[in-house]
Amino acid sequence: MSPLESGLFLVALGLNALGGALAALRVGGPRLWQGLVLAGQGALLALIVDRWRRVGHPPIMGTYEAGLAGALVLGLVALSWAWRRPAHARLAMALGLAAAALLGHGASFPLAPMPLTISERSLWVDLHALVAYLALALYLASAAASVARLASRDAASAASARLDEAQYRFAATAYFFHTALILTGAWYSLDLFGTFWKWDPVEGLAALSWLAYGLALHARLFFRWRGRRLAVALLLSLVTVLALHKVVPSLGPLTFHVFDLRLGGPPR
Amino acid sequence: MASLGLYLAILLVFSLRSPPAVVSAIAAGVPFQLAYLLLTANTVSCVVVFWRTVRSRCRPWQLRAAVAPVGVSSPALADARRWLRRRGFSVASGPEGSLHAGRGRFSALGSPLFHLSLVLAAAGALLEERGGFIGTALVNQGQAFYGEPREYLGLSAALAERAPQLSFKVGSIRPEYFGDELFFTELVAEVATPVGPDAEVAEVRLSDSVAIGEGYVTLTGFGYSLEYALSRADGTLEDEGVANLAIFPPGRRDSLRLPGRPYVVFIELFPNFVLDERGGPSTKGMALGDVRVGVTVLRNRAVPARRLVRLGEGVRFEGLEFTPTGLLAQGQFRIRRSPGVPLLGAAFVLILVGLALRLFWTRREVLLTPQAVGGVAVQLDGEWPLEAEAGMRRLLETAEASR
Repeated sequence: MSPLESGLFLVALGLNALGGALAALRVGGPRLWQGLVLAGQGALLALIVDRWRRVGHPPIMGTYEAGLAGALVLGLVALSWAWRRPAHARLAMALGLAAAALLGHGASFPLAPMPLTISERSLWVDLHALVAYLALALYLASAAASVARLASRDAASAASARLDEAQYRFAATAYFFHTALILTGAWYSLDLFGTFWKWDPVEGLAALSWLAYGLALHARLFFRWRGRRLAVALLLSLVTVLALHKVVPSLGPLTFHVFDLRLGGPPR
Repeated sequence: MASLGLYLAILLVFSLRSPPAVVSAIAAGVPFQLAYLLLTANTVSCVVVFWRTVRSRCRPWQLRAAVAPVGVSSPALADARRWLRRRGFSVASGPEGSLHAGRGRFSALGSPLFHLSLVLAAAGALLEERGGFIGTALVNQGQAFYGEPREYLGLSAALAERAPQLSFKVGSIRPEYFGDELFFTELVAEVATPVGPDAEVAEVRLSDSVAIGEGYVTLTGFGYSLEYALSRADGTLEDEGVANLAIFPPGRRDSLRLPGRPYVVFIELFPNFVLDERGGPSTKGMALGDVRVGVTVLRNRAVPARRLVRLGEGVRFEGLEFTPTGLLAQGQFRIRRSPGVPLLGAAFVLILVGLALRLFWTRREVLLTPQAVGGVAVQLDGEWPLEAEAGMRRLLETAEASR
């Protein structure tokens, strides 16, 4: 990690965490929270551009780079949510904490820039990673709305109805990208392994979480689940997504989805 | 869906403990085949149920009939028209009349399309299972491959019948490594296809299969084959040839049997020779530099010769000389035939189209009628998100207030 990268990383982590924490604790106002998270995202974007320029590929190689890109996409989703729905600004900016957590999680893995290995040199992989980051960010935004909906005391209020709508819309959009994630992975798997489905544990977890969200969205569309019931279903589904996110790097040789390579000794 | 979740959970537990091939074998077992059949039947019935009601749910716009001249105009409608058009509504109105807008009339098609795509995907997977072919062949630089079943590694008789008709000749295979490690940053084979005078040149990679004849070819692995010569002590050439060996990456050993003689020769490759800390042979990296070949000759349990030699340097034993004369780049090619791909591709597109229609392009209809006493009456139909409805009402109020 270069000094510039270290500095930008710490600024991005700190500002996202600070903006998120102040929003969660209701200290300050929306302009302060958004300013902090926006500045954090600016630092993160600069870090990613600098690293991309040096390494020659988008941030898709290894858990650290996945953390960078995931945090950037989450921050952008949160900022866009806050700008479009000022009433949800506090909720959206609290996601700065989640962005900081993604960065911190990524930083516990090898940080050294690595070139792309031959199996990753495909636009399908870039697309696969992009829709994965989008799906995760939108699921987290949906979860934030679900938590707020569960905490809402007046179920009949307009604010509750807006939270209800937000949790559904974010989950539905994330589900679309989640589906695209599985489909692009399956399509590329045909080139890599000669088969659409390989029973990699990551594939299994992704399919399981897809089904979990599918069940929740079915309940919303066909059985009129709303409010707290839907919030609980969506939060339970998020557990499978978080398990996927957290478990993948520890699977090692069981999966072909881990690219935390340690070549030529410790990378740091 | 719950049972499908249970099914996946069971196989997920297996996949966390066993290699993919084992889980695939379990997933192909009879109980699971029964589950696939039931799931397909369930999905087909979903398609039928959705299809029955789709016509009524894609009905013509309900509020459109009420579009009529009302003799009152409102500047708010001009703003509303722009606002609605920007959001993908098709807008219709008459002079001094009410304004109608709608979008997502065919949103209800989403559910049957989504479920139909799952049936298509199942049909595609079945076609792949019953008619698909995957085979692996080792082809050296400069050699041709004609798609004959015997050219594949370990092909079963059942699969041999499905081997695709194709041929290609490998011109070159180029590996690139990161920092001399076993980490390919490029691996590309230049192949001419079909074998013959009308050949066209194509590049084959792991990440980019190439359609050749009836199949698709992917470069999945790399290694070296050994060119060797066997001569008598007086220099008379006895035999020469190319042995397809598994001697790459360094550390692997493979053997060849000398034809008509009781010798087995074990070969080990050091692409860029160096002595390790204990004085033993090792390699600085993967790329070819100062190449050394470890040669161990066995006759039953006796070891008549054991030497580390350069290419072109002979190993003498019992009146013979074995000489590794060269290395040929060796590609491991995967050849597949995928009859289910068109169906699966169509299913993948339909899944996304169905989801987009159902989740994002929901049916919404609005009729805006200017009132003689001022203001605009709003009639809504369909699934209007709260924010969209509120946004439109705000727009109308602002425009009215600025009159």
